This record gives sequence, structure tokens and C-alpha cells, in this order.
Amino acid sequence: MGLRTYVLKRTIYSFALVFFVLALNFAIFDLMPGDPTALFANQARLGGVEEAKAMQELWGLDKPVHVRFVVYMRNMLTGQFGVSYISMKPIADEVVDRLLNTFLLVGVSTIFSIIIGVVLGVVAAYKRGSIIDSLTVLSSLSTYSVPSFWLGMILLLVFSYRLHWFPSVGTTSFSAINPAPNTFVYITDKLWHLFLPTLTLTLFMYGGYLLLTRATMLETLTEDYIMTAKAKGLKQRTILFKHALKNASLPLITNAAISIGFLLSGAIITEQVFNYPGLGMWIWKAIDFTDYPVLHCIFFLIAISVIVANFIADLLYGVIDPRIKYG
Amino acid sequence: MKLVGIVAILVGIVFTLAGAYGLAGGTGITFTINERVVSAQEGGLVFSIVGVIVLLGGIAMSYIGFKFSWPTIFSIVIGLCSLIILAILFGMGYNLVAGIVALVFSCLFVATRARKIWNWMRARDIKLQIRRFKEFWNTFRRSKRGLFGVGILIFYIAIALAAPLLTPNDPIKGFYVSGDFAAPSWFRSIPGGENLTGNFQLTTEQGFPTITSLFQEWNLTASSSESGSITLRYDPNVGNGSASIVFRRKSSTVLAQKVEAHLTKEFPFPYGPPRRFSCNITLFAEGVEKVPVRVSFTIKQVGGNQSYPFFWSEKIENTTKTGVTPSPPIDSYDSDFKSRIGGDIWVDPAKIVFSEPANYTYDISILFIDNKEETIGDTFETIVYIDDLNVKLYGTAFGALGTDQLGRDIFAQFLYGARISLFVGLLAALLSVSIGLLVGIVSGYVGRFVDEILMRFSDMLLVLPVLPLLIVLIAVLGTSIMNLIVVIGMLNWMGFARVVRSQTLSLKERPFVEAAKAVGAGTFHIIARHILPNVLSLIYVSLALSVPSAITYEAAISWLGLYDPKVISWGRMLYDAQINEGIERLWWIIPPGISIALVSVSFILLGYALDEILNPKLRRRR
Repeated sequence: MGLRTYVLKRTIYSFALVFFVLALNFAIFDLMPGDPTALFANQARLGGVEEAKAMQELWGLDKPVHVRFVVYMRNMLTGQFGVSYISMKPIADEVVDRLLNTFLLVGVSTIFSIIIGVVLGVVAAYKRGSIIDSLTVLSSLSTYSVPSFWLGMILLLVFSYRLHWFPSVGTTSFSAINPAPNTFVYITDKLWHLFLPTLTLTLFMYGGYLLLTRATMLETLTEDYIMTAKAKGLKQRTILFKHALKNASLPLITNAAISIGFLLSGAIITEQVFNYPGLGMWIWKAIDFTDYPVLHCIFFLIAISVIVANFIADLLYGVIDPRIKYG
Repeated sequence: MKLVGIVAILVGIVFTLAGAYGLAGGTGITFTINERVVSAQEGGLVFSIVGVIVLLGGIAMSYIGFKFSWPTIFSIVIGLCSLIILAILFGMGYNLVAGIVALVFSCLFVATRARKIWNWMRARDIKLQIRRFKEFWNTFRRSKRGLFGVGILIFYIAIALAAPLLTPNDPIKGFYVSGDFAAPSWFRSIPGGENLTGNFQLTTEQGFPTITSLFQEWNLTASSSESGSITLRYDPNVGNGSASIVFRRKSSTVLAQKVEAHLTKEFPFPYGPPRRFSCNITLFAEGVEKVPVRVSFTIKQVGGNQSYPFFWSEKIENTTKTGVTPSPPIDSYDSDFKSRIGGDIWVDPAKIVFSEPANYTYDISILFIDNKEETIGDTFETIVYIDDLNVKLYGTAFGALGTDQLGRDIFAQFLYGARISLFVGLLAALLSVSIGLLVGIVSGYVGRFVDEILMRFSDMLLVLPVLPLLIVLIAVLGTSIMNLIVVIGMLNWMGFARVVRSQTLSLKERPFVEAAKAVGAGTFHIIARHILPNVLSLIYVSLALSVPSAITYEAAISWLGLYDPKVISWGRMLYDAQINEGIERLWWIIPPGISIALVSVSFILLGYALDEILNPKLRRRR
């Protein structure tokens, strides 16, 4: 099977997945026990039964299931996502900022955790059996198993409450945007706010990369071509990072793609700890107020990003390892 | 005839699950022994023990075979009787008695089957089994990491099982065992903690239970007693013993006017202010139609000039047998009471009244107002009974780990939390491993389009982000611990299914399966006898390795506030700490967090150790 067929197959499969997610997303909220209209009508902010009815009609909650499904599909596929029950604004307007915030957090911490994890993993594999090896493995195992929210709480306590080095809430200070938006001040302020959440997520994630890199590196280091490289008298660093790591990185890419979902889960928790206004905080507010359109939107976006990450990883296989047969 | 055995297995499973539900704090029967509320959890424990016994009995039966003979019928009758009696006893709430009965009956059950079981064990060559286990243990013992994991695990299992023995306090319903937000009591012995107070009760037991407790500890003084006499008596018949203060006129022609009696007790309180104080009391009165009374309470510092009258009653003019209790309650958290002591609701009466370490006097004063002319010449006694006196000062230091925002013992919550973490982790892992095993074997053995469908489906589930899905499902389905276990189990089986599938695919082609097929073995037989035993070692490892993620998910979900209100878990403790600004109280957030990590690590280490021993072929260099 050639590359083109393979890409086509993966594309079709990814689209099938998207539709599965869409259907599941609708089913969870609209077909499960706990009728959204009843929950919504019970909210105290609606004056009486008649007003509740009017609201139901306004949001189309009184329509039969198949009509609602069509409306839902149209909303999702056009990227409009409908209108939020809480703020009464189009979700498409509100989602951008939060999505960017979450992607910023997730992206920066993915990069950091991969760099730290891979470098430490290579070092640990190279110095196998030494104290450095056991220390790195121990540290990764412990940060890996400590709950991420607890890690966040402790970091918050130490660096924010006790030392006052970093802020505990939000993405920007009021002072940085209020008088005159100076770009430099604005960016440093953003990074300053981003530091603790990123640190939490990075600590939470790097252990997995470290263990994986170490395991695959140990396997690669026994291969013949490494011996050849050594015999040629190449530098140790060249051997490790150019010869060994390149060949050991295939499982890493799979893992990075799979762990996007894991990372987004971590981000939801971390945002909650630091009151960081991204998708994670939003999901929470939406659950509190049974804001179903928002929940649809968030869940869809998260699943889409995971699917896309997996798709890209599948394609990258071939680029990194030409030996792969597509099939 | 294996039917009876299978029925027994099913009954056993139902019992075990029911017990597990009770153990997790499901809606069960609660009752009290010595004022301690015994939860449904003990009942659940008993239930699950019985369930496991019946389960094992059923398995044994289905293995041994079953013939109708008098001893077997006898044993079944005993078993059924025990079930009925147990059900009745549980219904009446005698969990402990039921437990003993269950134990006796299961002993009887085993005794009637003893010979059969013994024969069966001889046939299986029990010695060989023991030797195998010993060999396994000897290999396992060499793995330091595995031993470390098992050690931690045993510690937490011991904590979880012995929680009711280690603490008398209820983790959820034991409100105000001390003041809220109390520090650990060992803080008092380190510098800076001298001002912390323990709990203090004016009377060791509520009311005046004995004569000596009244006459040795309390003083009676009367203000002007020229024409009226005041005496103090002990009355064991009112309440659980009460003090009665009796007024009698000396002369039959003169009214005594106002006579004031003070019943006082001095007590040292050499600490800083308590967090809260309350004073329960019930008053009974006799003969007050002729001489009405007023009752008031005062606390004053001995030698100081400030005194705080914090209750004064209306004029009591009617004989009361049911008792009068102060309203609003005398409690420093009561807003009416606060405004009476300090003027507004923002002051803390505890800090005003007990402002410094000193000796204090608690004063119950009773004013007899003898001014009704028409009663001159009558002979009567006016008696005021004081009962249920309970003056309680809630401390600012308590127990090993202090208290939470509702004055509940954090140490008790920590101990009971171990139950939930282990329970959720193990049961969810068991569920996901069972699903994975089923899907993996079916998909690997049957193959073709079934395989394709199942694997595509598991791929799809693998792509879904677990935590958002979990949050949403729990929010929609309801926050019960059973929902959580089922949902975690349903979302976690995909990885294991793949491993089992690939193993099954390779086993399917082995000669022994071909041989079995050649002699005409059915699919079910091959799976049960040839495939299953060969993937068994994978099960143990996968079980150990999928517990940590279940534990972490439970903690995360609880921490987000979607906890089961009926049970306390480590995640919920951290949630409580977070929303009550308790993040600075290290004793509150360190133990649960570290414990979640330790239990997870111990399962990971155990899994790795098992992996190395049981799957040497699959062993990777670590």
C-alpha cells in the first residue's frame, strides 16, 4: 500500500471518528437521564413556569430529538456552536480567547516536558545503573503519581502565598492592560501568570516522556550501528542525540500524540487550581449551570484536537522512519 | 451437577457487591453503640465477608461436583437459614450480632463440607500449589521495589480496615468534635502553639449525675436570706440527676421579697480563647405560681471586674415538667447571642468572654420574686431543677490532624478516605480488566469482522479524552461512588484488550490449541482451558497497573467537587481544604496528597515486580 492510500485511509478514519464523537457528544447530554430542559427550567433565575417555557422555545428545547440533532449538527459543523445559556452570547465569540489560553498553556508545557523528559531520559539511559539514573527515575515516578491538582496546590502555596513571586489567579494583571497597553509589559505579564500552571503541567507530564525515552534508548544503545559509530570515534553527544535518539524517537511521537488527551485533562485540572480562564474553567461553569451548548462545544473541541494530533502522528511516522510499511 | 455451585457463586457475587456498596457508605442501616454511630460500613464488611465465603463455597461445589446426600442438604439448609436470619438481623439493625451469626453459620457450613473439601484438596495436590506459591514468593522477595510496594499497600489496607478502631469520630457526620479549623493537638507542645486550647467541659458528664459531683464542685450562696431560706438538694429522679434549688419562706406573715441564689463553680482556663463555646441547660420549675423566678447565667473572671451575663430568662410563672431551654441557644456561633454579648454579629463572644488565661467562675443565679400578697400564709416550696447542664468550650487544637470547616476530625477522614481510594481503585480496575479480557479474547479468538468492529470501537474510545468525559458523565448521571467506579471501569479497558488480543492471536496458532481442536474441543472449552490460563499472568499485572489511574481519577473528580456526599475520600478532603482557604494548613493537605501518590506508586511498583516475574518472555530492560 502506498503513501497516498494510507493517508486517504487515515483521513477517512479520522472523519469517521469525528462523527462518532459528534454523535456521542449529542447522546450524552440529550439522551441521558436528567432532562436538560427540566434542569434548566428549575434554575432560580427564571421567574415562573411560563418564562421557563418561553426560554425552552427560544433555545429550541421543546422540539423533538431529531430536529434538535439536526440543529446541533449544523451548529457544530459550521463552527457556530449555538448560544450559551448563561451569557446569552454566541459561543463562537466566547470560545476563541479561552481556547487560545488553553492551547498556550498546553503547548508551552508540552514543549518543556518533552525537552526535559527526553534530555533526562537520554542521560539516564547513558548512565544506566548510576545514582543519576535511579534519581531521575524516582523523581519522574513520584511527580507522575502525585495528583496534578495537589502539585498545583503546593506550588501555589509555596510560590504564590508564601514567597509572593507569582500571581495565583488569572492570565493578566489589571495594571498591565488598564493604563496603556504596552506590548512588552503585556507579554511579560502574561508569561508571569503562565509560569505556575506551566510548571505544574510540565512536572506532571515529563515523567512519562522520561521513562519512555529511557526504555527505548536502552534498547537502541545495544544496536550494532551504535557500536559502529563508537568505533568510528564519533563524539559521545553525537552518538547519543544524532544516532540513538533519532531512532528511539518513534514511540515518543506516538506517545506525544496520545498524551495530548491526557495533557488536556491535566490542563482542565490545572486551570481549576490557578483560576486560569481556559476551557477547563469554562467546562466547570457550564456544568454548574447545565449550559449544554457550551459543554457540547468544549467536548467537541477537545476531542477534535486529540483526533488531529493522532492523525498528524500517524503521518509523521513515515517521515521519521522510512522503513514503515503503510498498512 | 454444578447448578447449585453456580447459584452459590451468583449469590456470593451479589452479597459481595452488596457488602461493597455498604462498605462504600451506601444507604444502609446505622445504629448507635455507646453514643457512637456505627455506619453501614461495618454491615457492608460483614456482608462482603459472607459473600466471599458463599462465593468460595460455590466455586468449591462446582469443582467438586454435587450429590444429593443428607450432609449436603443439611449444609444447604443451614446456609439458607443463615441468609434469612442475616437479612432479618440487618433489617433490625443488629449488624454486629448479624456478623457473629454469619461467622458461626459459615463455620458450620464449612464443617459440614469439610470432608468433601479435604478430598478435593488432596486430589488437587495442595502441596504442589503451596510449593509453587513458595517459589513465586522467593523470586518476589528478591525484588526490592515489589516488597516496598507491598509494604506501603499493607499499611494502607490496615489503615482502611482498622479505621473504626483507630478513631471514635465519624468522618462525615461527626460535626464539632472540637472547634472548626482546629490545629493538630501536638501543635501545643511546639513553640508558638502555647495559646491553642483543647476541648474543655465544665462538667465531666452532662448534668449532675452523682451527689458528689454536685456538692463537691459547686457552691451555693444566697444574697439576702433574712426572711427566706435557700437550700440545695440533689434530685436523682429528674433527668439523669439534677440540682434542685429550693426556696422556703421563714415566716408565715412576711414576704421575703427578692432572694437571689447563686450556684457557682470555679474553673481554671489557662489557655487562649476557645474557638466557640456553648451551654446547654434545661430548667424545670415547681411552685412558681406563688413565687415566680428568673434565671440567669454569668461567666466572670476570678479577680477581674468584667462579668458577662449571657442568659436571662423571662419570668417563669408556670410549673413546668417538660423543661425550659434557653432560646436562642446559648452558643457563641448564634447571631442573636453574639449581638447580646458584643452588640453586633461580627464580634466573637468566645474571644471577649475568655479573653486571657485565668480562673473563671460560672454562675447560675436564680432570683425568687416573693411579692404576691395573696399567698401569705400558704405553705409551699418553690423548686428550680437544673438539668442537662453542659458547658462546652470548643478548642482550637484537636486530634492528630485537627478539624475541618465543620469541626470534623481530619484524622478520621484521612483513615476512612483510604477505604474509598482502595475500593474505587480496585473495583474500577477489576471492572476494566474484566471488560478488556472479554473483548480481547473474543476479538482475538473469533477474529474477522468481530475483531474489526471491536478494535475500531476501542480505538474510538481510546481517542476520547477521559477526564472531560468522566466529568460530564458524572455530572449527568449523578455523583455516586458506584457511578464513578462503573464509568472509570468503562473508559479504561482499551489498552488491556489490545494486549490480550495479541496474546490470544499468538496462542490460537499454538500446537496445543490445534490438538484440542483436533480431538473435538468446543470454542468455550478451548478459551476456558487453554487460552485463559495463559493470559492469567497478564491479568495480575494489568490489574495492578490500572489501579493507580482509577485512584487518581477518583481523587481528581472528588477534588473538582463531584464527590459522593455519602463518603469521604482523599480528593474530597483536598476539595474541602481548597474551598475553605485551608491550603495554608499543611496538616490538612499534605497527608491526603502524599497518600494518593504513595498508594499509586505502590501499585505501580507491585505491577512492575509481578511483570518481571510472571512475564519473563515479555520482560523489557528497565
